[in-house]
Amino acid sequence: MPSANPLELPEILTLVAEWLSSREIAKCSRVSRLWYRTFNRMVWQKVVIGTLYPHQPDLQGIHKNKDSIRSIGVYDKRPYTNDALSSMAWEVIAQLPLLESLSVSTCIVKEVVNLFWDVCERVESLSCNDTWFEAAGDLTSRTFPRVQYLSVWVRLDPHIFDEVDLMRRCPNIESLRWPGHHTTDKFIQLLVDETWHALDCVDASFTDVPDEIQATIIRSMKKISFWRV
Amino acid sequence: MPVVLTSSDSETFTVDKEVAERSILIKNMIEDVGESDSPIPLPNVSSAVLKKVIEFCDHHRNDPIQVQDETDDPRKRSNDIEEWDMKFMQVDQEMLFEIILAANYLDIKTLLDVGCTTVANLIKGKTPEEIRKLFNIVNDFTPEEEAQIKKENEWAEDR
Repeated sequence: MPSANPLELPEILTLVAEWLSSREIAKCSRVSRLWYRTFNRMVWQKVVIGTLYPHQPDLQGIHKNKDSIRSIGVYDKRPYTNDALSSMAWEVIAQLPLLESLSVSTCIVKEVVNLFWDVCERVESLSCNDTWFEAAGDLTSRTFPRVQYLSVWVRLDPHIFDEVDLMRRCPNIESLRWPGHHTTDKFIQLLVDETWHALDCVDASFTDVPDEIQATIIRSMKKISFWRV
Repeated sequence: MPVVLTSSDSETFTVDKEVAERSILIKNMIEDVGESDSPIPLPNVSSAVLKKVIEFCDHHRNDPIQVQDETDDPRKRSNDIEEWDMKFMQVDQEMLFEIILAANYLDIKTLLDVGCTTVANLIKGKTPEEIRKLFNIVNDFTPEEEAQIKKENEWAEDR
């Protein structure tokens, strides 16, 4: 047998990585050029930024590894202080060519709101939970046809916009987490109007909507096959 | 019906068909050729390695064949490989590497998994320099490059 080294084969290294934590994978990216090529992609696939984490990549690193990044998480520490990220950061994020997923949590969105919508337009999976919007920006002129998964729970003055305003702008949702709250009537109307032709799965496990009302909604639905309570 | 396998160094091994067919490569070969008495040549596997591979396949002969599942997150599988498999993998590094290559070539998913888990367990807790030493890997970064990557990826190592 020719004495090849399996640890020089990218497909074997990829299998080894399946058993390593993201920390270990980051360490492996520093071993050699060959290992770097396999492991560095994995390091940057999912990037988490925001003040909740003491260690986070800088914008230069994000830009340099833009072809690896598929998922961005932005998590801020309470209390809400200011715009979660600078507009410069959102500009870099808006240019990531392969971004599929954006998840923001405990953030405040104010000056950067239009840049924020720019990013939302590009992703397939959008979570924006416990997020405070102080402006709607140009939301009313936008749609988000790429979004297939949406989880939205925002805190704001309802006169700015509410969750349902965002939901109705995502026509191709397949899976949705429904927060309930004050938006129940509007939400039911959108369901009845069959706003989402591809909607298959609703996660209602966080709503405060009474079971009887949920039961009524479920009975009126034809296409939804999964309703989580 | 038994199957005859020939190693790269021309040693023959007679094994039960169900044991040999743990290897997808061999299974496909048998299906393509049909029932036949002629031995199956495995020019990429030495007798020492083939013996180990057969031992593994024989032990796992009754396991359900693993179906590749896209939704299966390997990290959730945890690292608890069976005790028998762990003992089986207590071999020197050269043999470990050859078993991995053979499992890859013969397409035996469970053996490849056990081999890669063993490598992963060797990596855990070691510094890049210790990893290089362990696997005899040359550091071909310039000091500047290495410092740059360390700086760029530091966040991921500290999280």
